Amino acid sequence: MAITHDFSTFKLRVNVKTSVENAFQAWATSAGQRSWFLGKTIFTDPEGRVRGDNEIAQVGDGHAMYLPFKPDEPVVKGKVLKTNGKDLFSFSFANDIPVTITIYKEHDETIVELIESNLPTDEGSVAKQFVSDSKGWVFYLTNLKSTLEGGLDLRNTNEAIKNVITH
Amino acid sequence: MLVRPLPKTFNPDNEITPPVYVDHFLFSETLKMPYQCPEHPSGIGLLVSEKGSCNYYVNGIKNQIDQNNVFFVNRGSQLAIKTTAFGVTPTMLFFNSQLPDLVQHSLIYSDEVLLENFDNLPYDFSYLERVHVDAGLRDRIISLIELGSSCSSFADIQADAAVRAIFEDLLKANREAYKFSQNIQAVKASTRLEIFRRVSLARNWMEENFNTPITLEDIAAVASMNSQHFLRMFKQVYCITPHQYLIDLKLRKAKHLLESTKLTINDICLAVGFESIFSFSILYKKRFGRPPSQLRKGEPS
Repeated sequence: MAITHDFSTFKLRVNVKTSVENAFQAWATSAGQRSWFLGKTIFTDPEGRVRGDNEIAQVGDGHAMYLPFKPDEPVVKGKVLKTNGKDLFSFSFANDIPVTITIYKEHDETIVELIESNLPTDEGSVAKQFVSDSKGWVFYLTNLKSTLEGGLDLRNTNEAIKNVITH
Repeated sequence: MLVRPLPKTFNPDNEITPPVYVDHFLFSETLKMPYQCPEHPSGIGLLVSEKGSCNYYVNGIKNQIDQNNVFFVNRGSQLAIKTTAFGVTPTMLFFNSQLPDLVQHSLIYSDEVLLENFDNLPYDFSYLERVHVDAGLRDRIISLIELGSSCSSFADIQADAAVRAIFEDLLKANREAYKFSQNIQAVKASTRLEIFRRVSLARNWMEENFNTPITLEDIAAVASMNSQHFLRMFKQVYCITPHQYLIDLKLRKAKHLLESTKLTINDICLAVGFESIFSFSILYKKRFGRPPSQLRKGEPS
């Protein structure tokens, strides 16, 4: 059976034993993202003011995401594209590719659903964007689940160790 | 960024126009047999050597690149590679064809101004085309080889950010060079850039040979100019004579040695190429405001 795959988008889901509100704050605030994602994220309002740690990012805000151990240069800069303040948060990621997070209940657990779309589909880009990005998100969604459920933060904290999926 | 072994040709489509890179390409391979790539139009790139020294020919001129320097090749320049030594690792980073103009644009107009001002593209980067004596830059390019094959989460995004930062830092570090390149009073831009390229080549040569007895004729020969023409051009570009530049270079190297080593003042004086400790001390005091003996208390100056 020939399987054709749409490499222009991918969807990942993770079930988390937490409230929709907690899961939303993990994406939409600087403090929330810092607890599980990359190194740190800074949100700035359209006037350039840095939002407070627990302030919810709004549509039109800029974001700068920094890698662990590299606090000086952001690795990704982009914008908050869409949010409803409770269960939807969309932002531009590397190469301005939109990432949309939707949070909802399913069988008494909270599902965090991530869709990365508008990916280029030429041969070189598939390996780079589709494979690399989805691989990266799988680790970080796992870490989101772990930290929100009160478990370990799985990120590598030893700067001397490189070339590991935990950064 | 894509990491690839050395290709047989850089532009499989044709050998007339520069290749269009839709991503950053890092070509690197440790040679087990001689590698030669015939002359072809190049994309914008940085040519280094991970191991040994490599011979890159740009517009017919041989550039021997080792562990301490990097060659910037401009788009459209004729590039040929002839490296025959066993175990050498030629490494070439070619930027996504759109990146240099985007970075230059963002440095001029800031990130907030979008593409409406892109009428003037492409920018001219020929003032960068020369050897850059910068071991740190070379190391950053070499570190991309590991990052390119890393299993780290979002390693590709890290690599892209690192490549962009390399180009951005190169432009920032050469703002002065860009300004200097505009100082040359030649009518045609191409003539101005060629003179600047030759003068800066000679300046790099001075940086590498400052501690040997060199003459104006020696330096002018590196720039392929007669000595009086070179003297005028060097002064136009850097606003000082080559002699003044060389003295300042020796004094800066001496200051570095005084601060970072336990060598005696006499040894340092000889190491940077001064013959008389007396004139060295006078010039040092004039340049830095205090004699070298103040950093070496107890030593006679």
